[in-house]
Amino acid sequence: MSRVALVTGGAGGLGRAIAGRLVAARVVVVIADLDGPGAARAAAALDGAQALTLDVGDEADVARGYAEVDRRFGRLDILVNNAGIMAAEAPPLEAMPLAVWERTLKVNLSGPFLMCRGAIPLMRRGAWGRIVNISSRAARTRSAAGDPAYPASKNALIGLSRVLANEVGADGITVNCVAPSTVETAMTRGQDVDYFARRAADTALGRLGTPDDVADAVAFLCGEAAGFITGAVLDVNGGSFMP
Amino acid sequence: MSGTRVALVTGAAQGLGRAIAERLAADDYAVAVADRAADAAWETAAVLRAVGAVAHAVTLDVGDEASVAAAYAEIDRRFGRLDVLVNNAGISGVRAPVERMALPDFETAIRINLTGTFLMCRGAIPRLRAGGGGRIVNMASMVARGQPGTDRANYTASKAGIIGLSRVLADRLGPDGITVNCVAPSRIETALTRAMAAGNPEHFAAAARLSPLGRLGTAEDVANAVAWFCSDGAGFVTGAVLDVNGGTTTP
Repeated sequence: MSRVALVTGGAGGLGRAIAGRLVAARVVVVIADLDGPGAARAAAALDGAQALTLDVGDEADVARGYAEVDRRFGRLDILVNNAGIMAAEAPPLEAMPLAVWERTLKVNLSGPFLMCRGAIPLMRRGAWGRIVNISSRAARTRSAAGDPAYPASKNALIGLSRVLANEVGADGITVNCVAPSTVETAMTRGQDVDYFARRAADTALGRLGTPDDVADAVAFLCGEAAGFITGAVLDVNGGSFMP
Repeated sequence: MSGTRVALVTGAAQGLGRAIAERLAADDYAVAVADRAADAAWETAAVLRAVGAVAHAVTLDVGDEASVAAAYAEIDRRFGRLDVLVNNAGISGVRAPVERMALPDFETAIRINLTGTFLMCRGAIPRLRAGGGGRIVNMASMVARGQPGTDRANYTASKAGIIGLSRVLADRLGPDGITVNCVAPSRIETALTRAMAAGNPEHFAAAARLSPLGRLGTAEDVANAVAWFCSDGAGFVTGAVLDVNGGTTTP
């Protein structure tokens, strides 16, 4: 039977590209998203993809989602934690309400924690697994992100990935991060007009990243060929920062 | 033949370099199998040709400026283009604490590993540019990624230097559509390293225990990472270091 992948935030621009790339590698993909109709539309556009309505920040919802994956497939081989948010109108740190801070951490960090925790027993069954967490260039250097919780959450995601890589290596599960620079998606589209031009000018290649650029790196790390890579961070940023 | 992309792999006669050459040949590259060991390079090229690949052996001492120039002239003649350069050739160097390391022992490792990579990149740039872009992949090491090698100042400095060189090149060559990246492997099990550790089986076992995956890396693990950097899909990745170390260190 084909390998089964779950991609969170799968209805968004990046998530759809990742799902598409995995489907092309003959993986059965579950497109999970808070936006159920969006997930259904994204799944309908891909051969062999299925939709799942899921709030990654909600413990009960994640448990329900995995029960559903177990019922449908009885296995999970690949988890891509792509769902993430950036508060649109976040104040500077000194004026930030705790609730705004915690909302970003809930989705960007507790979400992947819950998703990883639930994935491990399923991956252990097959003694094989790939977890790829979508971090950010904002976690690798000074960030232009308006929401201070965003780089904090994306840095913490790298820390979580390293701990998990160490914990589940013996089970044949690898855990890695991809750290993309700005990709034009619905999440970033609210930025001012010059923003994208500046981000493109930051790169050595003189262009913005595309969802496909990120998806290709994710697919590589999810493949058989990347079996000795774990705890690593792969920067997909056009040479805009070289950590 | 002019439509086939050409990859030049240094140190390609055996071990890691040979695995990289085989992997790129499997990805339909014509391969220049460059090595100081001419006979072994010839044999490896013959093995690649036997499975249907286009491959030629090139005799090359990467630390010798004249040899690098001659090798590129031969590649121009044989292949007429260059799309990918993989700087895999390297030596592990004589081990000693810094206070007792002889200058030639320090400089030899720098010469082959770092200056060799510099010379090869310098020669590749106009050729990659002529093709409208390309890929350079340089071989760093875990010793330059937070796990410095004991008594290996020469090797460690050379590998850290390769990362610095790669970043400068990545920054400079981006507008030409040339990406420059590093792969940083941990200890790899090859025929050569197995022979070196023959008297000490615990040597590999100890290295394997350092990885959460509980095994050593293979030449194929590294070759797969190199091949990904060379692929079209990796076009937005430059100046990056990909650690292929089984989680041994997470810089």
